[in-house]
Amino acid sequence: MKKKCALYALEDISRFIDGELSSDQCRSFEHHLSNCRDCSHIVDRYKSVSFIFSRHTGRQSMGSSIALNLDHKFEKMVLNSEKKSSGNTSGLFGKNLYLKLASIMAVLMIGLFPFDEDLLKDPSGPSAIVNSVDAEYASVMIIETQKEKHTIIWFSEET
Amino acid sequence: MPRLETNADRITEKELVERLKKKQIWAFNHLVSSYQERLFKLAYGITLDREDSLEVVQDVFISVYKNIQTFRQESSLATWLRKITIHQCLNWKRKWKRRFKWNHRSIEYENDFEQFDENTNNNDPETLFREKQLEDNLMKAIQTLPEKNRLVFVLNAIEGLSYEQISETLHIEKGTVSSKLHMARKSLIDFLELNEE
Repeated sequence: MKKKCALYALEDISRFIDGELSSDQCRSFEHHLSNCRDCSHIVDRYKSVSFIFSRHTGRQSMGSSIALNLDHKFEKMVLNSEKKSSGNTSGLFGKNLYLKLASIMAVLMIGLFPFDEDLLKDPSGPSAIVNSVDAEYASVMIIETQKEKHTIIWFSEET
Repeated sequence: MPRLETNADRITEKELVERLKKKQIWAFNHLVSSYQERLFKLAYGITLDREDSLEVVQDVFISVYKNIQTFRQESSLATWLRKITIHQCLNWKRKWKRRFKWNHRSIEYENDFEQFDENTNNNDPETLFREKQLEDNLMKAIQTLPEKNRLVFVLNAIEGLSYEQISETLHIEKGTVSSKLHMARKSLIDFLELNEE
């Protein structure tokens, strides 16, 4: 961009159109503008780029897609957070009743049966819960039998 | 038909934030309807892509839902939302820059002559064509601006922010805002003049 007038820098003109010059500077530049076609042209061009860009952006229609999509997302997120908070209060292994019962049974078998001599000779119950996972809608427990060393996978799905 | 005024229209920002913190769906819907257009325009100014801007704005509202507890109301809700939108847009830009999408122009942008027609006062086809060409060139020019210059220009042109407000939003000096805005404008005019010749 060629500028013949050397009285005001381009940055000053930019600040002028944004109202960022002091009131004295502003008055003085306004007076200058009435006599300088070069600076007036730059003011017009600077203003026009902001105007055209703002108009182009304003024409972009968003529609109602955001509101519609988010309605469902928010409801889902609220429900999930409510489920989570109620799940946290249900103690060991979460809210799944079957998994709780299975866990208690397994602990009882491991804890009490070794005191039975017959069982020590010929163990038939599980030796240990290898792992248990309690997800939101399903639970899995892995148990290993003592004698055969078989792995039992206990899967429970919430209905 | 005149719009009925409900309690939702009269709610203060403080009350809205309190309800948002209580995770009330109504409050989130109110937030979305109040700010979606404004944030979309800002996102579009940065991404220049309608579909990506829609995704960015959706992500902004989801982020607000997840992080509303961290909002301490030291600034206004609009300022906080603006900052999140800018952050999401810059993340979007970095993500897509790696995939060479930044210089992509959408099909709808190529074909919006009719839309342009509706919004201009002068119906002379030649004038319309020249204005459309100028607008196309300007949008091309904006894509070539360095990231910070472009952000400063977008916040000034679309949000109408003062140098002080831009400086606070982008954490840069007021003098830097002035020089970046001037550089952005100069680059845009230079690009347009080069393409006019």
